[in-house]
Amino acid sequence: MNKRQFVLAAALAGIAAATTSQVYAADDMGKEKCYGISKAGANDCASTSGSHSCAGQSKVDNDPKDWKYVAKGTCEKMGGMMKPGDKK
Amino acid sequence: MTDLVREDALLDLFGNGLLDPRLTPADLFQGDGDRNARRFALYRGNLTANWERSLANAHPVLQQMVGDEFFTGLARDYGRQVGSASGDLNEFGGALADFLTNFPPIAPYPYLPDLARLEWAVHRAYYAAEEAPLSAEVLAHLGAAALEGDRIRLRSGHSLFRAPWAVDTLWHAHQTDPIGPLPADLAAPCRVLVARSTWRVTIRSLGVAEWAALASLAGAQPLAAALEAGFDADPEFDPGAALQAWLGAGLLSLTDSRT
Repeated sequence: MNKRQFVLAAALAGIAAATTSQVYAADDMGKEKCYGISKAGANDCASTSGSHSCAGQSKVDNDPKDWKYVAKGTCEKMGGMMKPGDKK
Repeated sequence: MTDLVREDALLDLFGNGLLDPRLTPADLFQGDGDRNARRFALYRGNLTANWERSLANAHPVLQQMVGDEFFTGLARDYGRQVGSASGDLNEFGGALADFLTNFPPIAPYPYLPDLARLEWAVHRAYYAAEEAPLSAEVLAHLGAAALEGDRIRLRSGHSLFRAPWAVDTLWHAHQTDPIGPLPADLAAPCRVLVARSTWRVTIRSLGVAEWAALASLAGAQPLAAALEAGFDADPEFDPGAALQAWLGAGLLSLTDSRT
């Protein structure tokens, strides 16, 4: 029995096992569709104001200067633990 | 003709004014110049806020990692330098990982471009077309010949991702319900399957053999050759168990036959 034959035999056995053990059914998919259809936050504009451009309603952007970048999120908080190591 | 030329010039003035706060396209409007400049700045603010929102929608982990203020600046620079190539805001962040590669402020965090790449893969999976999974019954019916054919593919919404950093662990640790702690060592390569079997995107870290098998399948090899590639990578790899698990997870689909 060569390697390909072994793989094919194992695959067919796996398929047979899957036909009897398959819990993954159309019903489960139907239920799942009820959840999380829109990403959190992605639909805020439509639901709050009906305007397509509500993101910055009253935010003025008049600043020509370069942004000062100071990382204040988890990559900074984790400090020494997050050292990337010696890898380039 | 001259009207069209004038219209182009006006559009340029308007568009450039949105990107560069030093320009005030006051010529476009009648009335109080200061008031017009203020209102135009609002318009500009809406644009940058939309950039930020759409980037954050696709890269929530990156946003947590650099913090809101940094992310706002990043969105602004990305929008101004790269801009949008699509009318669909969901496609706005596609070049962010490449942009980050040459973005000096993140130089201390060399793993962030790969994190952005992973988040983009998750984002694309989320919006991928829905496709019916290949069931074990259908595959059993098709028989052994189908395993050697070219119709069995990774299902839409599924893709492979690899990086020299442990961005998979990083991603898991930043979920709303964190799956595991932050990585102790970031300089560890990851191999990941991005999967959207229903409507939720998950990422699953793969061993060497399963990676070899799925990469072969993603490279348009027949399923039998893919399973063999897994076996070649690790003799402990069980092709039958792997295929059973893939079918159970809805990982595969059947394309139309090509003749």
